[in-house]
Amino acid sequence: MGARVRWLTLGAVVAACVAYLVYAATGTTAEYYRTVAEVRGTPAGAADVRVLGTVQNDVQITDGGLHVRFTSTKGGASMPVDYRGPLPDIFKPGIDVVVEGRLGPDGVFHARTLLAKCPSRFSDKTQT
Amino acid sequence: MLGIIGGAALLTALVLAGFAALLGFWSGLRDHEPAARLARRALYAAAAMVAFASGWLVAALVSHDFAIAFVAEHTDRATPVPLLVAAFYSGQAGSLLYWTLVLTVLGSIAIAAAPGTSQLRGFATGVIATVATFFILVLTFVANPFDLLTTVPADGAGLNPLLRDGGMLIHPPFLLGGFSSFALPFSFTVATLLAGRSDADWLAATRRLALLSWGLQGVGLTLGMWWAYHVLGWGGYWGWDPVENVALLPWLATTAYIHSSQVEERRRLLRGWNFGLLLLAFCLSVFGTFVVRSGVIQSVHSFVASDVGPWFFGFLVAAVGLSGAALAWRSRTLGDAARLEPRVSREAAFLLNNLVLIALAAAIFWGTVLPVFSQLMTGQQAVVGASFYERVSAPLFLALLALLAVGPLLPWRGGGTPRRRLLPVPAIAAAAVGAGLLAGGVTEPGAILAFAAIGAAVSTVLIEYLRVARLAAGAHSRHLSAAARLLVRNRRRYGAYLAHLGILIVAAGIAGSHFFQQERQVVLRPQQTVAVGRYALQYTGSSTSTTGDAVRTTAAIRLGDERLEPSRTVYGGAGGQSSTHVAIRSTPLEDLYVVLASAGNDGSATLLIFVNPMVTWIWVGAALLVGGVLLGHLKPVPQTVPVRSAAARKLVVRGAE
Repeated sequence: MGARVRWLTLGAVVAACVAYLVYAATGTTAEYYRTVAEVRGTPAGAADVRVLGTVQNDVQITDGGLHVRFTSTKGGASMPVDYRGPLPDIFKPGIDVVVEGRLGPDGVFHARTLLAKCPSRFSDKTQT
Repeated sequence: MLGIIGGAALLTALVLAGFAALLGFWSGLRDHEPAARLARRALYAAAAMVAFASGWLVAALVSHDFAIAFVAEHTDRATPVPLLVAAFYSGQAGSLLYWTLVLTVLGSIAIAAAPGTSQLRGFATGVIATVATFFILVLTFVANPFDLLTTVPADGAGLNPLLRDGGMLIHPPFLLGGFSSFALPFSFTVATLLAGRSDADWLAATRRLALLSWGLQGVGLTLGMWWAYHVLGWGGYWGWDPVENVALLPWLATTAYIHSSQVEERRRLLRGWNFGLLLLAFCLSVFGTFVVRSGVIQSVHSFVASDVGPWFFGFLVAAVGLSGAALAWRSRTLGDAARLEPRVSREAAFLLNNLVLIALAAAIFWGTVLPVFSQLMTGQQAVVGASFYERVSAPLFLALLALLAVGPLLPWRGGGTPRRRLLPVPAIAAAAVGAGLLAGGVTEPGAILAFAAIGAAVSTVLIEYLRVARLAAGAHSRHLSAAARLLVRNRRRYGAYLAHLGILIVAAGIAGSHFFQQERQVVLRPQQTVAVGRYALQYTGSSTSTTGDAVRTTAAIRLGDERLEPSRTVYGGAGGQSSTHVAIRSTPLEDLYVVLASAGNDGSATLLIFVNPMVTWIWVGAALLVGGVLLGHLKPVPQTVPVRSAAARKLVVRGAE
């Protein structure tokens, strides 16, 4: 019985350490998905959020493609987005992008990352 | 019209697989060899029909039979033939058919070669055929690759530009094959549980099948990383995307099994735990298939929600529920004869390694399902990115490296053998590497810890090989042959150490590229120069060429006497979609990685330039890792434990028998 208790204790200690590790890392790194309307409805954000939206036709690319401004729209609400960095290959008006960042005091969403929704390999719809 | 024949082949396969499933289980319950033989033959026939349907689909793709929806959606007349063949597993329905092909063909071979009793083989046939039946059901009624279009288009939609790459020819087949092959060790394990007994040969066959799926998945994961690195052009190889994570999970569970099954072999301990790991690996592979194909979790791969989601969810629930029930049902009879002593020993190190690997898998699983879980619990969707996985996995990776350094030097049963006295060697190696890095000006604590742990583990592997080398250095032919005999007889052990060396080289590559990557984003006019790391790059201008609907812009960059030519292609036919072609200059120590982000009308070029240290080590190490394990298992190895009698060889699971 002694052996069993000691193994269980070891397992419990490892599990507790890992659980704490996961809990702490989740707390500090988790980001919430917000809708465009939610982002617009709240004052300048303190925490980074992710927002899904469709790229509108007003895309302005400057700086040799390393700086982009566009309007992201979803569910009837829209917001201006400002992003510096390399653009995904498939970036263009009409595609859906997930921007990660926060709304600045200037009312512009400053994105830290910009992820394009890849055309799906398993999509049943034809890509156009 | 020809699509009908492919569909008919699938229907026939469905009937055969369903028959094999029912008859397999019946023969297992009755221990009836003629029925088991018939079930096996029905499985072989189902495999043949699936192979025929697969060949039929490939033929339809190559001959541009656009009456078949799958062909029209994934290819066009301009697609070169190798990619026409690759389109087979590029779409939803085709990849499911490929999954089924691997399952039924490998399953048939495994069953045909299996050494077990007719009862065990009957049950295993039943399980493989049940999984196959499920897949063929989905193929027939939900995602049929032979569905016909009412109006035949003149040309197809074409393969996605991102997938028009040589990497597409090798990476998905391995990964999909790996995913489907986890069903094989699973089926053998379920057979053992259902029969309530097993023997050493059957368990050895189970182990070889686990190694097969581990190897396939390992190669698939590596090729996936290689593809992401060479084709996607973001400078990295692993993004902790859900699709990558779910492919890693069953591999981690099987890695744990490969280690703990040695405790079972040596000490007849942890039997239930090992069965659990194999069942878990299969459930995780089904989970991965569900995640990838249901669209339930947002991924950059964004596999659009399709009709197969609910089917796979049902299958996942059934697989988890039934395998859990089978394990619980037999848990009493699985009880080990002895208990693992709470002592510093080899088996304790293996158990700790298992705990860490499972903890790692659990943490990755948690991060992957968090969006769904948080949505259910709070109504808000939370996501975690790379920083979460890095923070959680770093300490666990360090723990694994420490175990790699210490574990192999610990004696079985914790007894005192001379090897235990070697324990200071890895400690000294770690201190030396750490001190060397500090002296070299490295201040990043994570890097110092990682490389110190890697150094320690490498020294442990070297100790083992030095023993052989010392034996061979006797400069006497007798010694040399003795060393060779030692290597051959213990090929599993020395293969495993080779695999350890491989994973350590991978770890060094990951640590090096993670901690020391340099990155610059610049806009250059012709003849302008940029310095990155120790490289001075001069942009000399760009040129454009057109082939078909593809317009390719190539930037010429001079590095000393060498030329680098990153380019990007815009495909008119795919709605202006573009793809990038990275210029990579690889050296053993670092890669110079140049991406052409865009080319301006004024002749300027926007470049992303990375210096990625030690990335080549990852590919070399991974080859050594898989190669080392396979080398040790090319032929079944004679028992390492002295076998007293034929009766002792029989590993009776049911206590009373």
